[in-house]
Amino acid sequence: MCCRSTGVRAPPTLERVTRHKSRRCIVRGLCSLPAIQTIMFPLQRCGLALLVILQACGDAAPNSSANTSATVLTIATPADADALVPQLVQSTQGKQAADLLFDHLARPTNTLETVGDAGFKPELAQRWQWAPDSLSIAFALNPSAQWHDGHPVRAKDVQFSFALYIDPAVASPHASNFAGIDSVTVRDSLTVVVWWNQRSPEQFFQIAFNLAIVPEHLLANVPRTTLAQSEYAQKPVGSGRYRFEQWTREQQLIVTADTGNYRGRPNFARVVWVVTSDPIAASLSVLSGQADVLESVRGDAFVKARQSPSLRTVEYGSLDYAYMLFNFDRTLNGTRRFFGDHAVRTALTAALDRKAMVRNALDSLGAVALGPFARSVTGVDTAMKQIGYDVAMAAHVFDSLGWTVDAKDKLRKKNGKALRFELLVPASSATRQKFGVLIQAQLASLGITVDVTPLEPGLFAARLEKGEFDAALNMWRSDPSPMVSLRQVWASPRGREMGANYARYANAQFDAVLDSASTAFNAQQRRRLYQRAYQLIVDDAAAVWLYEPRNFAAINARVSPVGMRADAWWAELPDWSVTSARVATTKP
Amino acid sequence: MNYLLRRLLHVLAVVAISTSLGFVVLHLVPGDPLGLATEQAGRSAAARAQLQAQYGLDKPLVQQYAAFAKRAVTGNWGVSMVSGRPVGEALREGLVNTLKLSGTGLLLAVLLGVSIGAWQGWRPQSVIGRMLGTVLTGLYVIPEFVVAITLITIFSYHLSVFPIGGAMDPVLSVVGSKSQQTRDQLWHLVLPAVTLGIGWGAAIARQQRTAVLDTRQEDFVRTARAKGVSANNVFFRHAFPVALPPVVTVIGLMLPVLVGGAVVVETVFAWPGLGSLLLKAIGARDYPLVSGAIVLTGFVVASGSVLTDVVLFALNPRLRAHAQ
Amino acid sequence: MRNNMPRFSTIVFGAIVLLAILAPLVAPFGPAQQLDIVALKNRAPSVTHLLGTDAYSRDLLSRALFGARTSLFVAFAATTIATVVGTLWGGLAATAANRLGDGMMLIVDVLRSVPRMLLFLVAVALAGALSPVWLAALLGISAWPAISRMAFVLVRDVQSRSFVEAAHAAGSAPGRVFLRHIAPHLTGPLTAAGTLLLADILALESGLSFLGLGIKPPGASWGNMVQDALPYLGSAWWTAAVPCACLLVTVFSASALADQLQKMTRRDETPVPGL
Repeated sequence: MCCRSTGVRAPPTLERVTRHKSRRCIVRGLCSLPAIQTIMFPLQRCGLALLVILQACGDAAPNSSANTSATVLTIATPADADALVPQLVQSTQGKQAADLLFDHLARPTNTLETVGDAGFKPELAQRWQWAPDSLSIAFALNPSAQWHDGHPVRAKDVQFSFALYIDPAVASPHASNFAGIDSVTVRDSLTVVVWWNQRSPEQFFQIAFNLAIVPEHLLANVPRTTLAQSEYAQKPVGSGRYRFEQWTREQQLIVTADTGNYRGRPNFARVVWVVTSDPIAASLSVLSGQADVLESVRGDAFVKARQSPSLRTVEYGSLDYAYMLFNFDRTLNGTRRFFGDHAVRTALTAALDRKAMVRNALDSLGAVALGPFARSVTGVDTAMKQIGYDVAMAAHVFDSLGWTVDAKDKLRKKNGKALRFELLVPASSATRQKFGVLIQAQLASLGITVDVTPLEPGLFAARLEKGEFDAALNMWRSDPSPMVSLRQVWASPRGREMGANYARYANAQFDAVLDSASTAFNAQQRRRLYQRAYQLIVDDAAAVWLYEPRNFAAINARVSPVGMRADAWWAELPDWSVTSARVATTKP
Repeated sequence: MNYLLRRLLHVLAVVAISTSLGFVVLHLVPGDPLGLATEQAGRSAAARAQLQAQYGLDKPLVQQYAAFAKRAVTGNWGVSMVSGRPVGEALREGLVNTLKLSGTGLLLAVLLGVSIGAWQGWRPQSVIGRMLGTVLTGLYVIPEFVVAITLITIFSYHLSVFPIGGAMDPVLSVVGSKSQQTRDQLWHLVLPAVTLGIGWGAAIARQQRTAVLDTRQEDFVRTARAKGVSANNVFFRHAFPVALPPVVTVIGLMLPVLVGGAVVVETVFAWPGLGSLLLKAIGARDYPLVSGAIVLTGFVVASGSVLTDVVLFALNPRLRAHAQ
Repeated sequence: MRNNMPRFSTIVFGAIVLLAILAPLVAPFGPAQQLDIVALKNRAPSVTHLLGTDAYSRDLLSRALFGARTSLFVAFAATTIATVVGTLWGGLAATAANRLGDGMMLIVDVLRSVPRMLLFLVAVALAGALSPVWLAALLGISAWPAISRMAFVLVRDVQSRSFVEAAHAAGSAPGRVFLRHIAPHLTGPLTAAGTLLLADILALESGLSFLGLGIKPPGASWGNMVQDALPYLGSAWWTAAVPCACLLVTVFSASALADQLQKMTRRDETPVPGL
């Protein structure tokens, strides 16, 4: 529709004015815009419904213009890395980058065997030698290993890195992982010796898995208390197969290939993490080809990824389990240590239909968690005794404890006070937020009020640490070693070291079994002891075990992933290969 | 003079209010905002002592306020508790991105709004004009997230014309040429700017329509028409210039929205602007960042209103005479 | 065609308000009732569930009705607060002495400069969660400056008219003058402005709930219904379409109504000969 000119002078009445269009209508848009508006109006009027139907039927065409020649792997992540220095890293995103930038003495193979050194292959250390009494191991470093700034890697770097981990001024969250290591000494410029207080089955795992090596010559003079704000922390230098390139906070993190690396040049010239916090935007970006990798697709995104010809859904093992944890020390509802009562905990567990909740929140992409472990790693007896779903029993228990249902508002009350507690949920986890809503409704039908509070992950973690919560939905990403996870999360706090035992749970029997297991060198005996430990915790209803997710990553079809370990799908990222060059995503 | 004095007082009052609000957020929030932050800032006594000294937490409230105001004016807003970056740096980036987005949105809105509003005001009885009127009112109040999600669904997902979100393509930002980067950034700008432009354009259009309608009734218009001046000439040379200042006033009133109001659009399109930065900072209880953002918003709004006054002055000879 | 729209929009808006008031009686299920989280998740509209169910197997029709109830309650309460406070302030400023009146309006101007979103974000940062009552209060407080500016201009305008001067000259008390002569001229424009404000606040509240700052789950609000529906846009589009459609219809009818009211109270757009 454009300007029409009648060439006639303005007619006298108003009604006919509308049909007169000047040839010179200065902004042609004045004529055409009403048309656009007239089209937009019914579209808007019919609303979103029409448009999302179209979306449901359609499939996005990938962007196609080829523009650059570098091969780039783009990973869509839900959050930004918190830090890159290994001593400070806590977020998964930070760990992904740190694992590419920094080396360890040895790296785990896919077997995830944590006892002895059979499950490890050389990385920074070319070879190692056990002392006859197994109280020390001498590591011989690879002489061609170099820092990204050109300096060679030396034994004093390893010693320095260990010192940084355990220095209280740094306050590294990983310091407790090194408990039992007496010291790290330098024998010569390329040999470093690690000394333990006593033998344990997993001592090699302990040093190889946890210790990332940082450069002493760059960090020696950095004040330890403000390490996070230092220059180095903004532009870290490591010895890994990728070197740091750029970090725009809350937007993207870019690392580029270290072409002269002693372990060989990686296939992808660059790896980029793009922060896409909106899950829909993230799944759309990988479906349209703007991103290559999206870890953890669920629900609609999973179905679409399955159907898309340009994507592959790759399952990788999972060592995660999620649970509702109680704060044992909390005074609630007029009772000291409200959750300290075994009956209360058992009733709450029995009141929740865990199977239905998992089915609703995860469809077939998850299973009900059985206890403080992930089934995949420990070969556990999945037929172990559980607390079943029994609403009648739960109601009976609460009645017997004095919490009776008020006829008027259907709430459980004792001495006039209603039974309620607050459930913390991290805003970054869609699944746990769903569980929060489901748990809220299920307990509401029993007369218990649950206030679900979503919190930013940093705040969530802080409140757990400080014990400022009633209950929380937490997910534990186990280490490959079941011992480490159990000890960190469920063993009684020793001295001021709380580890990750946010629940402040203490069970002397459980501690004893764990201690036995930690010194058991016989594999069968170890398994039996773990099983006994798990049963103890489950019987004690220390927490409500919710779900174990099945992890699927959506990966672009041109990328061939390898070595996706259950604890770190990115472990062998430098060896991922590509079939065609990365295409940039601008439209002409 | 009276007029100028009023405007000056207005600007000062805005700055004072925003500074006070920023102070309240940082120092008077229940739960010790900096106490929590020291947990995240290093968990060590040394870091805590540093923060105490930096924020003067042991001095009386009035002294703290004075120190805060001085810091605010000089631009030293402390350090973000979550990321460790200087607050000023993070805010500056966010502000630039927001202004890019809001500025473009406002430009679109002015172009669309002024033209449609004027057209409709000049010809209110036409069928299209009446429909347009209802449409405009509807568009004016439709929630932004509905528009945003609609646009993303059609243009980014189905037609794959525009990117899903973000401000730039990460690859190009490193390897692309300057012109490629500029083109790419413009491409990312289109959908969010259009979303903002639709809502704001409707508001401007309504205002313009009313202004033109009013002007249409004036005697001088009728006189000009009676003299034989063509309808178009009457509009563009007589009616329109008179109808423009009220629109500028409305735009001036929209200034606060320019800076702080695009939160929903920034969230849906993952645009790294001030609004989404503020939202995330609040969620993470990053009080230094929140407080800095509040003060900055006050400054920007105040300077924006000064700008509006200058423009109004230039447009309206009567105001100039008044001021003299 | 020309006269149908305002009548139609009045009927639609009235119907929505009526349904919202009667929600507890009309809704087939409770708004937070999760009926069968395995079998009834994201079910398409059917006979038992006229608008379908959402991801938590809650009936969408019931949730939409209760959402209307909450959202409209908040919007009406906020509009009332804003209109009452704004009219009083603006009216007082206009009838007061020149200096005082100007001072009062300066305060209004300054308050208008505060970005609304900022206010809400800060309130949430300080308070955590906002109950519907507090939300309404906050929304009302953020909106009264605009109304007071309008009331100020109107009252000043009417005051200068001759019949008011006449009333003053006749010796009537100021209060009486205000009530009998000035107030009737305010009701029209203020009602129009109030209705438009209602639509605006409704949109704002749904935006806040969408961001997670407004009505907290399991409370129903159209805004947070859209947020819940986002992960399922592809497979269960009706979960997003229902609240969006409700929002569009309500906001649209309210604003069309406001438009009509405004037209009725301003000068007529009589055809001007020669144009």
